[in-house]
Amino acid sequence: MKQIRLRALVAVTALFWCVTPLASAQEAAAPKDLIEKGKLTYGTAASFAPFEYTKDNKPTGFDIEFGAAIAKKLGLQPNIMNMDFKGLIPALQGKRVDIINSGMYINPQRAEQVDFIPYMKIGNEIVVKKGNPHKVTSRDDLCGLRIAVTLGAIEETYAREVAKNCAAAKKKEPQIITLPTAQDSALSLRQGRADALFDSTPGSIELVTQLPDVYQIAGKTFEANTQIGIAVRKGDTEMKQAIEKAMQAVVKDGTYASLLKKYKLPASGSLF
Amino acid sequence: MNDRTVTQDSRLLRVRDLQKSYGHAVVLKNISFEVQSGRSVVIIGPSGSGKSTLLRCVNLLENIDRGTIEFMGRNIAAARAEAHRIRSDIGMVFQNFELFPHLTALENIALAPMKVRSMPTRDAYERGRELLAKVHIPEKADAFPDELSGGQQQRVAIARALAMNPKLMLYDEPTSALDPEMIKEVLDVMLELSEEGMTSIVVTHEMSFARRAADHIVFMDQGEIVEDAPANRFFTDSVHPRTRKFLQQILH
Amino acid sequence: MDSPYLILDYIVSDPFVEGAEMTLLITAVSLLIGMAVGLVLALMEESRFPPVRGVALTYLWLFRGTPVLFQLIFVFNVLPSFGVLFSGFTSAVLALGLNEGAYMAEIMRSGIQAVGRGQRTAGRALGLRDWQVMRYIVLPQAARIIIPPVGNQFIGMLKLSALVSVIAVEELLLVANQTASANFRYLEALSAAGLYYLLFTTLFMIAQSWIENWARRRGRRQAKRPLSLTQRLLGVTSGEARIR
Repeated sequence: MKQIRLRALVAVTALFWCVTPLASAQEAAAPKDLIEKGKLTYGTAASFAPFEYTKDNKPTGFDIEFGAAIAKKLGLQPNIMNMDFKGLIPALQGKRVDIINSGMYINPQRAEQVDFIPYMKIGNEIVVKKGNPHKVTSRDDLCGLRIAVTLGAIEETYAREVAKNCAAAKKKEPQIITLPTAQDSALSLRQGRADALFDSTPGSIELVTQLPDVYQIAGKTFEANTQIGIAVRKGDTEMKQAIEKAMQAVVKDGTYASLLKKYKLPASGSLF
Repeated sequence: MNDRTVTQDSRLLRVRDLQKSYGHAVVLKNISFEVQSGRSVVIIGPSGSGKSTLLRCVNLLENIDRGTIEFMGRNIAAARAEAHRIRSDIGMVFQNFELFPHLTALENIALAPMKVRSMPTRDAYERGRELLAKVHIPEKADAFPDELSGGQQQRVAIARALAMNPKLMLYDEPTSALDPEMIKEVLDVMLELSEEGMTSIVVTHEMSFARRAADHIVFMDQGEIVEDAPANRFFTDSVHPRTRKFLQQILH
Repeated sequence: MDSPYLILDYIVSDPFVEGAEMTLLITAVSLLIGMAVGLVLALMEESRFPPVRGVALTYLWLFRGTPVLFQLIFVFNVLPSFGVLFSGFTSAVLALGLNEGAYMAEIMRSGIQAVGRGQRTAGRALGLRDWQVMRYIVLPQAARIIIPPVGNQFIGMLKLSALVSVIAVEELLLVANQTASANFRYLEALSAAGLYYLLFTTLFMIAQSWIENWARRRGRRQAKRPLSLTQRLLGVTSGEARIR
């Protein structure tokens, strides 16, 4: 009799241990108003290594895996919509995606259009052709040169600031070449249609590591405290809270830190 | 000066054993005839008999399979490389006039002399006006073809052909597309030219013209020359039964 | 700022005006290249020599069988790896022009063939050589015949010019996108561009009907009924469909 009761106790305990992990996988309530039920649909411009890019025809990168982890914490499947960067905010506002998860830099203009949930801070670099033919040492040296940027991205904003500064210093303004994706900018620099481009520090390092004979970083890191965040529709508090909660869970269980390591992002960039 | 030389000089055109096919269909069989200088020959026959094709062969607008075409003593059928030069000595008038619609009457007439014979513009236009006067419509020099009646257009077409000073004029059913009241004005011009000594070959249904202008008449049927006789004998003494039958049909 | 006033503001702003000028420039240059290429192709198609015809037909197959955007990106991004680096503008008019040539060839051919065979015969009968017949008799008439379809192509090219925004040419659509990305006023920026396009296409349609009337006075043999302005605006053509 005692044996049976012991076995029953063990069985129940074992069952309990099996069930609990399943229950703790979903740690936050999924928001009710999803574009597609059961899925977290997010917009991304998958041409921005190491945050989002395509490898073997599949989207991959820090944001992709981060997004997948967050979705899991909400009990949802991630549903990726890959588009040009400039289309992300219209897509969010037009309710074609639930959130934007694309390494989007937080700045005041964007903050007027969307609400952000910051998750990392990163710096920026100037990338030039190997050999630095125009001897660029800082953004001030870019006057009169051609800068390739992604249309609508933070790089375009930085480039236009450089233009303003050059004009104020009575120097020739740089020619700003706006292209649909970051790949196009990298290609332009390589072909000689542009003299420089801006990229995040991790992205620049990635580029220079992949193609050391083609590209090099010029000058020092700038705007090193810019934050990037996931964007939700303005006033969509339900979504914001759900994502925040899920994000905290992802940080807590160490996934965030291990992703930082996996994609060679500096641990100093963590906001948590 | 022997007989042969005289005969050869006066024989402007001599076609011998001409044969032409389109694919497997033979459209002209053993065609032989001649045209003396200064004379007019009228060719009649049912449609499909090959009359127009024959004219186009004479003008080297079409290739022939066999036979010779002697023009001014030379076998032009063998000289296709110079076809355009030979054609500038042979004038042709078409059933549908084929005036160039984007040019005025005068420009139509002056085009070939200017571009083929490199005649200066002023001379070409002067000659053009003379020719328009000759065909009795000098006032229409600056009119476009779509402003002219059918009869006027055909007369401009005749003037256009004359501008190149041809030795031989070919008329391919020149009045078949005209309203009856305009046929006379064109035939009158053709008659005048014939009386002035222009060597002509005329394909037509107009028997009145044949009676008045033709030196001899050729009847063609199914690609062959059935009968070729002097005009005065043709209507009265024609030999061949097919010719008689055709004449009965058209001379009702 | 209120929407309508902002739209007007954009319309008269320097970037938009310059973008509009660039759009017109791209349209005109591409169309001229297209017409030249089309004429050459049309004449090649009518050539007596099979290899010449073969080259023309291969060209048509390649350029009609791939999307214009593809050709544009190919010229811009792939040619450099063969050592051929064209600027954005050059790539744009080259790609658009070569593509247009493939469609123009068809228009030119129908124009040439629409000139009755009798015209050629009459020209040859006068002693004109073949090239003279083409130059003085056939082409002048064909030119008048093709005015309506060429006009349509002009309008089509104006709209196609928007594609070159992806290779960073500063035409209307790119300017509108840049403005919208900076200020987030998508409605107003794109409306301003849209109004410019409508303005241009409408003006061209009016000009086209004037030119057609002028051409008809000079004795075209084919009396086609002219399209009313409404028919043009709604895209009714004289039975020609341009499939791209």
